[in-house]
Amino acid sequence: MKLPSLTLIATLFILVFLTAPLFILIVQSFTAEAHLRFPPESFGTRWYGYIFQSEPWREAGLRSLLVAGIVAPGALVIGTMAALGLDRGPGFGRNGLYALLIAPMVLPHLVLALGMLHVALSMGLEDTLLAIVLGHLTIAVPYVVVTVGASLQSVDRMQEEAARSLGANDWNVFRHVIFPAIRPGVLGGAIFAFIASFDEFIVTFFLATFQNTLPLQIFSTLSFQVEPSIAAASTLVLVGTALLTALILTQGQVVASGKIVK
Amino acid sequence: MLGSEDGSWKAWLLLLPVAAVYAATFVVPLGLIFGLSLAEFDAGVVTPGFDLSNYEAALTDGLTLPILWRTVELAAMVTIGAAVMGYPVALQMRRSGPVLRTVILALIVAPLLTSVIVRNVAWLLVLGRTGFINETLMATGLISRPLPLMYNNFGVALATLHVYLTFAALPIYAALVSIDRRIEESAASLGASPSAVFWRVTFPLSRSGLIAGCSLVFILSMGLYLTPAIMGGSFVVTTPMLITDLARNQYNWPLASAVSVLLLLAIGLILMATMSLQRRRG
Amino acid sequence: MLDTPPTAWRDMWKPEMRGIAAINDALADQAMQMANLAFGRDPTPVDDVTFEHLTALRPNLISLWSTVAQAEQLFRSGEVGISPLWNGRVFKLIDRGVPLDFVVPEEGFFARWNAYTVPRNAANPDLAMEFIDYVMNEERQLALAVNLSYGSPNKNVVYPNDDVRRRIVVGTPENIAKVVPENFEEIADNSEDWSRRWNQWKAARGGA
Repeated sequence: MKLPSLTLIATLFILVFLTAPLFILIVQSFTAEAHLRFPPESFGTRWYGYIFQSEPWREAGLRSLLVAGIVAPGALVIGTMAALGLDRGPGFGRNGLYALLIAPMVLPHLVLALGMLHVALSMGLEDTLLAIVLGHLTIAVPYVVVTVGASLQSVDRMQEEAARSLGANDWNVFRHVIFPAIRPGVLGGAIFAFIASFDEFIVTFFLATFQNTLPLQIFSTLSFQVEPSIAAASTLVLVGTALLTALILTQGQVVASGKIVK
Repeated sequence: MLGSEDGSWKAWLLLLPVAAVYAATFVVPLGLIFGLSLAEFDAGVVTPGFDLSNYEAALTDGLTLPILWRTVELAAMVTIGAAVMGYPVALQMRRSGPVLRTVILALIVAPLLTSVIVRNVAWLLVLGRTGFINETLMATGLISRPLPLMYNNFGVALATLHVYLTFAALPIYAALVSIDRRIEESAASLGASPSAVFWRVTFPLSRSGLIAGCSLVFILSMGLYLTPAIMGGSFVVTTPMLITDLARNQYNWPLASAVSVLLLLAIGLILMATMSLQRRRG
Repeated sequence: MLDTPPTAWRDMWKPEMRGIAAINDALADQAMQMANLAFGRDPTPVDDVTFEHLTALRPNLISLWSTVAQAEQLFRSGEVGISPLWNGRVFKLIDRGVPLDFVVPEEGFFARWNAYTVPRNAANPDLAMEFIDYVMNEERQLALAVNLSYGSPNKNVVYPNDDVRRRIVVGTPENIAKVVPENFEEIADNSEDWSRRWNQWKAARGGA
């Protein structure tokens, strides 16, 4: 066969293309120099020390964790309820509603951000944590709808019938039959929601003035001085999110996101 | 309300929380954008109304449409790249054992997990005039002048592909794994060559995934803002960048809103084209 | 990178600058007026002729920059050999060993300043005035001049030596004579039209 070897070679090239910049970034983060240059001539953990000690970096990092820490569970509850409602609701209008629910994921976030700023300004909510959390929720909920929606397909309706005939109410059916079956999807959705909020840039860029998040801090550092602190901060983010993803992958759920477009 | 029999209207009560959040952050904001696009703007003062002058201005200023067209071109470049690179990866994932498949999956998802700004910084270090590629090529004597790898469409498209490739590869993969292998096997047993099996059986059966992936990449690429801002050296101007300039620097929100509505319309047209492609196939 | 140091804005248009020049996108109004100065015109009006000159400059431009960090990175990485940039930033780069110099162009240059404004109906006008007194005081203005190379409007500030005066640029009479006044009213009145034309020029095809 000729094709397999060809696709393998192509895949290897593409994987190098995908990972090389990340590799360069990680190497960069361990530079002991004052500026970004590849390859660096001396190495050290100077810039990691710097971002942990610097007030703006620490504050931005903590705020990002706080926002994502509120958004992820919020999106999880709201998104799971929505996916369930869609799955159990009338078939009529299901596809349209689904498209509406995941629309914020694909529509230009800049347009959403512009509209959100307008609403925030008219309600006096600009530059508040509440506005940022609500904005991020809208970006994060679609991820939960997609992953939980996909795993709902695998719920065994017979077991639900059995539970119900034995007298279980809606909550108990959810708690003991549906939830165990969709757990991987729920976990995957929660992690995606966390990452979506943690990395969100454009909505926060419009809504925040002083409420700096980590992506905004990286961006403003980039505007003021291109320094290796950016590489160190992003390597930390990369490692953190990679660990979270490893969790999803072991649950075999990422492929479900291939169903983003139906 | 979770009754197993399909179609209980009560189940839609579960959609109430999402409806409340979306109302505040999605429906009302988009409605306001639409409303603002019809407002009058004069010397910094916005007067609500029903006025098409912003659309007229956008369509005739010799700027909005050319930039929208260049945004479409850029999105098309990214989409073609994502399809050409995503397909072999998806094919390889289908052909690999579970371990290699997981490794490939992890690696194509990895860029998605890095912040867009960070990814672009990494690409600056790779593609710059004194970046990794140019330095390497110069050192080996393959080129005598640095290649212009960024501050143009190429650099922006490459840095965008880096993350959107995944959005093409995953739907293609999903379509490929749903193909019944026995169809391909029977074609082969009837004497079809491997490449004939691929082009006449596998590829046509994976088309829905390819179309879905391409349309997703295309739509996402229409919203590009940060990557062209960082990698384009200002010479790559996309519609979202124009909208930002109008809203944040010129404070002309009505015109910014009208251009936003035009962008959404363009995206709607692309979606409709995709759906009719999918339907013709089915 | 350059064999002979440039002396004028016009030098940016030379063929040997191909692909190694940059200009400022964030203060595009100055870039447009600069193109007028380079060809012996007054800074305004910004018109078709201005953009013909800018289009002729296109092949030489590798990039436009919109933040000073981008400009610094362009110089530091050897991406760019010639670009307008604030004097304070240039001398900081020189002190850190970047092979660079600051040239006062023959055609003259624009000098802009930062202004403190106390808005009408401000909550704490007295506090604001106190702050302005604080930052405008001789000691702090001198520190600004010595450390960041920006000149002071406080006439009591005495620059300690010639090097500081040279770095401030507007610290010597011959340089002050080269300052080209800007018509801010005209700039403000035309900003919408200028930025539309500037965007049009940016999005046009061609370039390095």
